[in-house]
Amino acid sequence: PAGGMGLDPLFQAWSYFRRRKLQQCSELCSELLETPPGEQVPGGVLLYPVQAAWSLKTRALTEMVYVDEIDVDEEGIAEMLLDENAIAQVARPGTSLKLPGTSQGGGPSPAVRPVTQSGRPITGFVRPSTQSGRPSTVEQAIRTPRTGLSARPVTSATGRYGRLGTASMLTNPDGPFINLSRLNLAKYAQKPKLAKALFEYIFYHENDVKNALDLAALATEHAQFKDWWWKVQIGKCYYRLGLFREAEKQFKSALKQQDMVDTILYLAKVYLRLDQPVTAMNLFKQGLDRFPGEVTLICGIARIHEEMNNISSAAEYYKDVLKQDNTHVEAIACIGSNHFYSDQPEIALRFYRRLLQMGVYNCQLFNNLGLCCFYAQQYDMTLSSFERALFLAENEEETADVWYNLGHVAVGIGDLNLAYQCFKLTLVNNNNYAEAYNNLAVLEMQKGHIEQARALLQTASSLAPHMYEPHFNFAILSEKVGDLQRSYTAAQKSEEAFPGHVDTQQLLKQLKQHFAML
Amino acid sequence: GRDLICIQSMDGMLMLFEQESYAFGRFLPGFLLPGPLAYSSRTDSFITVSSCQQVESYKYQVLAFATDADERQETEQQKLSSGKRLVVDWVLNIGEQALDVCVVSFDQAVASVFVLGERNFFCLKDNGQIRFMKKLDYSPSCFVPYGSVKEGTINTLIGNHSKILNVYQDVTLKWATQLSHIPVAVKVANLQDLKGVIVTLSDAGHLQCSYLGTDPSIFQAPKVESREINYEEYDAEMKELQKIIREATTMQDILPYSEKHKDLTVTAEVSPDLDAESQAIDSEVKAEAVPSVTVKITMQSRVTVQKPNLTVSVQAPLAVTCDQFIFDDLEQDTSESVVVSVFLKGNCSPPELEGNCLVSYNIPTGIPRVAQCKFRLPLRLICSPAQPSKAASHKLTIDTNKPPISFLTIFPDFVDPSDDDQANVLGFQFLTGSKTTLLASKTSQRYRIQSDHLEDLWLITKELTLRLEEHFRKQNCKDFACSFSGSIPLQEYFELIDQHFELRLNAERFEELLAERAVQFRAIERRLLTRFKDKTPAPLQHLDTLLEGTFREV
Repeated sequence: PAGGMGLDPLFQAWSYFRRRKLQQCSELCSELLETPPGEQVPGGVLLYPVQAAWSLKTRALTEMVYVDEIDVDEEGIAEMLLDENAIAQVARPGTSLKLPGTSQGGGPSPAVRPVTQSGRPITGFVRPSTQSGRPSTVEQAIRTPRTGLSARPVTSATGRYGRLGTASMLTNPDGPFINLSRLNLAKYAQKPKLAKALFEYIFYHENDVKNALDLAALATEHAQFKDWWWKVQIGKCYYRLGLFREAEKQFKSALKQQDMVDTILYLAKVYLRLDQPVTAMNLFKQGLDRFPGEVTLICGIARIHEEMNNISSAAEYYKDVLKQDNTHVEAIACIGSNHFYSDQPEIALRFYRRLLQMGVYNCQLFNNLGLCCFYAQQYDMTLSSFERALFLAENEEETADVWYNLGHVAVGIGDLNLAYQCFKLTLVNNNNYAEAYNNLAVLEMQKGHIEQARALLQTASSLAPHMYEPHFNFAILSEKVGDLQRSYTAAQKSEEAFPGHVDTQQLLKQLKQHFAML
Repeated sequence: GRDLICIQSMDGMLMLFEQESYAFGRFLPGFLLPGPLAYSSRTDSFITVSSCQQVESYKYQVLAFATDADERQETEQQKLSSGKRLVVDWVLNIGEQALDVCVVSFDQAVASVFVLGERNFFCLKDNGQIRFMKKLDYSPSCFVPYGSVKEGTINTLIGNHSKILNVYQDVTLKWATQLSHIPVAVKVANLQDLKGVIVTLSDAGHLQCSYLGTDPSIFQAPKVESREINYEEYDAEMKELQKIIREATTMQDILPYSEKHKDLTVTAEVSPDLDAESQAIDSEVKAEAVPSVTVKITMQSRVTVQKPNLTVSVQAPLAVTCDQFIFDDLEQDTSESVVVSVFLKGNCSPPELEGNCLVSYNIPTGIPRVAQCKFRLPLRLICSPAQPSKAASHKLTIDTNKPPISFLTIFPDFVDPSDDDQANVLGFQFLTGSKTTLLASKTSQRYRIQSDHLEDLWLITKELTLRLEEHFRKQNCKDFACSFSGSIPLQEYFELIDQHFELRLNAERFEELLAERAVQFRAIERRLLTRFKDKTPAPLQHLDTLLEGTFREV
């Protein structure tokens, strides 16, 4: 097609690439590569301009599937099982991410802000790796109930990476563009101009870490260990392979040669995986000295604070992020949810409205808006927000969330019938919604249907053993009908989930008195 | 006063023209695809970003006097004699491809070189060191640096592929604005009286002059379809719905469906005789021959059902030859049947002789349903007739309100009809080895079951009462009843419970032990892994022996 326009086809392809019309670019390159038959020596290095077209095509294919490696993180069960990097089994307070309870004040109690399975407060922004924290032991990991949402892959090799890797099949129905097994990596490693694009292709598009690592190792040798870029790539490969100490060495060595924001982020990611949040934080701070005002670095600090349950300082750093970049969605969302859970729905409402203005238009946002409106007593907006949220819900889980919140609103205005139906609808949409089971049980209790309530509470507590509410409710219920033994066990579980809950403690005390009297 | 022009060709040649006359051409080394090119007058050099993902600066002087990279390769010998090679002034490895390079100098700020990469944005000093950089979380398309009002800073406009134009002061985002197209080039222009107009070019060739307005381009959420509210209609609809809900809630959804709604029926037929050739496999019973009995299970469907899945279950230690069947979709009014054999697998008596078939299927609307049926296995499956024994340690006497029945009638499968003695005395030999004797009183309405083991009494007792009940039902005698008047052998019963409890405790202890060993095993594995990962492997220090030992224990 380009020939008719009188343009050099390679230039045309290059122009497509610049305008991110990657599909067209890749197709044009394929045409270019097909025209001179016989020039493509299997395993050998290609000649110019075939080389150029080949390189451009690898770049285009890479760009199609490119995801910033820093944000990709998934920790499988097997990795946690054989986490040989753990240094101390019992970390000092405030030095480890594994013990969510080690907050030094400022963390909200679970009574105010719901927690995730590992006991961490729910964050305002869904990132990979924040959804489910690390279980502390293998046994816990295996026994944690697996619902549709919290299921984690067995190892990261089978998880999301696997899905990314299939891209090559999708784009090329007749097999992958480059046959990696027939590639002479050593030859390419000596051609720096080709090697870097080829590496990115192997790493991002083919998702073949082993070959990528081979190429990077050869290339860095060829560059006499003077090219920091190759070191970072080797580090990335090591990280994927789970060799964190080796990755750390590579990143550190790369940083010595050249300060780069990305390298700092990668190194910090390694430290976080090694469960050394304090080191990571120091690294971020050093990075900020070199690159003042770098948003990703500040945001990294904020995330660490948040994961360590130090919500108030996290909010401070998120505010710093906004000073540098006031369109940062994550920061706005996190500050918003922080305000919401610290009883300032009006302020949270403003943050969420800001998100709406910026064009974030999804179910979750309207869900939050609806709740904020309700708690800020702006009832007129509440229902219409939820209506929009329902309208925008993309899957059944989202619909379930909306109905659950509607149920809350219904409880708030005292329409228990409506609440009952809302919670029922939640369960229709998501059968694993522990909170809805719990609330339904409370409603059943009020109606006097003890057996139903008990069944619902048992379901809730088996679905979400980390929530203290179902345990506590079950304890109260059992105590009322006189089943003190069950009440006591449930109360103990509740105390385990939320040690500071006063009502549980009182109940336990009362029960102990009973037992003593017997 | 002369104009010099530099043109970069697709094959990496820089051609320099002085006015209209060609001065010289030079190939760049390591060239693959053209990168952005800029001329810095301060250092009199050309700055480009090569395919090796590095910023390179070439002095004009060097370019003019160097020999071509490619020529040099061809004639290696001449290299030394034929003048200087093309030497790079400075190189900075930025690790990504660049979109554009811009050399600027403004009155209030330090002169710098700006490079827009695919993922980062760099500001370099004239000697190629990074002054600052910023990681971009979008794909940029074009940029232009321009003078800032604040001392010491430089403003930059960066357009991206999401049609947004960002204004940065150094690295701080000052303003973000929505464009109507994706810009491929952006400049700041002064048009007559109009200063600081932002000129953008789209890839379709549209030129747009714009200014930063204060009118926020607020995202307008699309309107939700709003209806005229007719309260009467709503009330009516609401009432209707409430009614449906009430009906649905009163009819408990756990209730089983009545027979006439059944779309699929499942029946099991136990063959009256034991298999001629036993189908038992892997039986742990030590008897000479383990008999088996055939059960034929038939499914009859009234409508089309999808993926029927049949499960046959019997209580351990009984077992079936195959307990899972998955069928293709069944058409309307068709049937499907399978044959399985049941036999005693474990070396102890089963608690009951009942089996269960369960079919789960989807009806065409996608609703999952189940159908089930029970079947009874013959007593002959687990015991055979034997010589009755008079003495036994455990006895049980059953009273009935009817005269005793001859065993010839109720146990035809155990009694040899020619032998009259067996009319009121019957011996059972279990496959597991123990014996039970059944006695019928000639005068009173009593039956006695006796055995050396308490637990063996149960099956015979149960079988006896069942057969008696069946017998009287056939005779249309409705007031038959069995009773037990003696004292229940609680003492023995409790002993058994204690024994069972002990076994349970043992099982739990073993489970704990297993968990402990598993933890140990994993710990050793972890240690070994660390050892092997080391580049200079330390001696294993008998870790391998430990691993094997733990494995054996597991």
